[in-house]
Amino acid sequence: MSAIGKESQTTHRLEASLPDWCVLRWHHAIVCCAFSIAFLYFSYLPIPVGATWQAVWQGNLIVQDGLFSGVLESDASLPLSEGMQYLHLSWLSSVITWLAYQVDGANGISILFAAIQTSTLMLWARLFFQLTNRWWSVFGAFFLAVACVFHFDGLGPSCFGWFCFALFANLVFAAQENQTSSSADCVSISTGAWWRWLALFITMVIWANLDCSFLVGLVWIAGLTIGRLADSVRGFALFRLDTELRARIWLLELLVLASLLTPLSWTAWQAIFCSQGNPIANSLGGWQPVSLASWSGAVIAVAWGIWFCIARNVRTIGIANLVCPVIATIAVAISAPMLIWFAPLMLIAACSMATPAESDARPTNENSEERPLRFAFTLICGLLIWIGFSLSPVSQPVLGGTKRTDAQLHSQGTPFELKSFIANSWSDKKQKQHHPTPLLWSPNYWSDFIQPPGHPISVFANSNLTSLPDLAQTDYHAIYAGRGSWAKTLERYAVTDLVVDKKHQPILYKNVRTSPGHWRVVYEDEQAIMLTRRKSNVK
Amino acid sequence: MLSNTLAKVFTNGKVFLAIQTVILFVIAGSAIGWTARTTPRLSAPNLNSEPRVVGPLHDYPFVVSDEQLELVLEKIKPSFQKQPPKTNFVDHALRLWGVDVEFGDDAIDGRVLRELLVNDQVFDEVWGKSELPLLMPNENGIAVRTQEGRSTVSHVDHLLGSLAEVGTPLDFPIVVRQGDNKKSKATMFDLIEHATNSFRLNQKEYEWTTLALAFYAADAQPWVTQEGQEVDFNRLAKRLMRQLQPQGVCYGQHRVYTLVVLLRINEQIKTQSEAKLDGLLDDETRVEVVDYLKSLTKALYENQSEDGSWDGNWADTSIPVRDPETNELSRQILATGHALEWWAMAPKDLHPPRETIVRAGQWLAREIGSMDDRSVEKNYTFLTHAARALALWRGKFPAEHFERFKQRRGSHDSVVPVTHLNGPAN
Repeated sequence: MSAIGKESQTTHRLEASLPDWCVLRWHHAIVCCAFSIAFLYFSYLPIPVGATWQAVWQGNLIVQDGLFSGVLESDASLPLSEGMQYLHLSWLSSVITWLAYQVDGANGISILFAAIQTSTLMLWARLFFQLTNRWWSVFGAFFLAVACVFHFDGLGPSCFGWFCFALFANLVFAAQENQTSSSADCVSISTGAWWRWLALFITMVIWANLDCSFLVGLVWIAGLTIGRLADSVRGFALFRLDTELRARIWLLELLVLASLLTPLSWTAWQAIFCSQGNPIANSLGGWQPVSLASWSGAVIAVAWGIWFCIARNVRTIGIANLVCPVIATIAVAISAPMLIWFAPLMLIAACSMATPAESDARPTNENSEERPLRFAFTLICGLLIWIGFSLSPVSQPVLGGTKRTDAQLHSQGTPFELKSFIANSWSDKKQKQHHPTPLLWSPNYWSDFIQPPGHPISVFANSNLTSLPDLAQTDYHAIYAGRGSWAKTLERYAVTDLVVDKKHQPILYKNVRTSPGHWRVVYEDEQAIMLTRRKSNVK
Repeated sequence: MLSNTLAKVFTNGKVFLAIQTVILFVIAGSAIGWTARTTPRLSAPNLNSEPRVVGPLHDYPFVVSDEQLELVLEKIKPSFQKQPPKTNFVDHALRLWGVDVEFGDDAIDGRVLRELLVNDQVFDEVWGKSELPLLMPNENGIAVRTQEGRSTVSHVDHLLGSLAEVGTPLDFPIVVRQGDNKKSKATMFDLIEHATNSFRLNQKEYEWTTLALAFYAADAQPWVTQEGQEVDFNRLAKRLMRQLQPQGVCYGQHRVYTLVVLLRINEQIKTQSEAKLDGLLDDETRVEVVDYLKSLTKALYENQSEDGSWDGNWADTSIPVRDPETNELSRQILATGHALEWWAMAPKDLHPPRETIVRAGQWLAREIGSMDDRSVEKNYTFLTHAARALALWRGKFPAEHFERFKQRRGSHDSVVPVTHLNGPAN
């Protein structure tokens, strides 16, 4: 090699200008890979036919009629629920879901769902890492995803609530990043900066408008406060009222205040004390005792197993780390859907007890010339994120490609053809000819989907079944099963149109086929059959 | 500077305790204020102790003549061949005749009719101790056994409606059988309490419950059912109009009769009360009810048969009757009698042309007049509605007509021969 060549090589050699904190390692690549896969999984998860569509319907109604026109205190799509106590506690979720639908239809809903779920997992992962300082603890987030996946019925208020909870928990523990907490439960509210209080307040306001699960956040903070008080008592300092305890009480009061900043305001709190058909309890899952021989039961056992394993090595267990899991266990025992709140609370309690690992110092003082491939894993991480992005439907506007079909977007058994038949055949004019006040009976899991937003079709029942009076619920189930006098029951409710799910309602399908009585078939495909009542001159 | 001061204020122990005390008082005060301001949700409607009286509005002799009416009422006296008489018959007879009627023959007097229904001592004597009682006390009040055989009533809360219509006050004593076969005293209120406590808006039969509650209603206050549903008379009226016609019990006509009674009581409250109370129905619902009843009148007018009667498909003759296996005459009496009954109580603007009513009335009078005793007993319940309708069209309750005819008979001969009433044989 000539001297000029040598000189040129030394002068124009590529050098990394990124700071050293950008030097990622193999475990970062694993985590990136896991999150990319999670994002792809959520992106391609079909939209279930149930509650998401009710949110779209309600969102449309709220945007059309305005927040304070009573739409939050009655379910306009369910005339049979008139007079029942009803509160739409998740109006903001409905509006956001409706907006996503307006922007890009079902694809918009699918992408929003993937983004929210992945962000939530990332927040949980961040929190678990922060509490334990062990990189593998981020997989606790994936434990949560696997444990709770069956309890998310697509994009719904609980998804938004879960995101808020993860954000809220990160903010509660935010002070530990630079300071060591003196409390046994690792929480140090008193040492937090003002912006953290403000962020917690704003998060609670948003959470209270998104989903009634904000109560979980309040109960958690209450549990932390009680725990702190109990810790003080244990340390013979009952009347000391230390700064941390006072800070937690202030925070709890501030958050209660924040939860009142919703259109329903006091009404939502009053509903907590409602003895009959409590809308808060119903929104959180209602009375659904958990079976130990079930997936939920297994998750509870594993979560407590983790808790015990960690607690064995801890000298002093913070009372809050016991109180919160116990409260969460009682809640999930009463209502299995509470699992989505139980699982993170258990992991938070367990991680709070774990001794943080020594700081994993990076070899920053090494000569960069000796480590020419030190950004290799950073590049691999970038590549993994790019692959995740390019394979997901989000990339379609950037990279091109065909849009997903309805069959790819929706879960199996979604009645598209039936929906378009109803939308086309029930235009306003035709509807008036058909019946002035039509009432459609359809399986409740289809009702929200086949009811086009903004369309004045009333249904017998939708995914909000518990807002119906008990007898109407019983009758709904009797009709669904095609039991006995289903035709007379339909008459009693003045049902004008009937949709039957051929696969799941074989008895009713057989009955309407063999003895239709006053019913006439107007539509049929492989999935569903729709009948209408023969006209009578008089209502 | 400011943040430091605030921090000191909020972290100072004494200041903290003081502020917390203030917050506690504010919360307690707000809770008390809210409780005081909030109107408690009623679990039952506000009731008067005496039921209202809703009487006939019209006296049209051309619908039924005195002679025809006398014959009809004579036939429908509660004198039954088969003993003990079906409770269902007794219940309907009470509604037709009221409690003041005294027949002076083997027919059961009004007071005895009521005792048979609300006094388990009398019920025991008639049905024997082995028969289950008609009135069954439970945690909701006193239930009435319904559709469980001859000794029970046929319609949910029909007994309650009958007792209300014949003017039974809520403190009227009733006698029930307890678990140990001992008798205990209760009141009419316990019956209505049970009806209210067990009421569901979507239950199969709700017409008579609505009617009874309307008769005793003190105001239009809503109440909450055990299902947690808020109910008022507007919602009940909408429920009555919900089903297509002629669906429901007695070809949907009980629903219509109850709607007319709601309208009448609504007017009574609005025009007669000194306190200028709101009626049972709001204006929107009242208009809806009136329009609904007009549409039924139109359907009846259009579907009346040549002979003046209607059948089970009175609302739409293009649809076959639902129970073709039953006796046609029974169906016609049922449909025609009920239609004339609610028209008799309805204001004039809800009536069809007079000819329609006259033809129907004459058809009923002719058919009932020519029925033998066996047929009368077989169709007794339907006939009570028909006879009541004819009596109401002459401006009085049946017992008042009976008394009038009895006085007249004192000075004249007995009942007019059937052949004369039916006109010349042709």
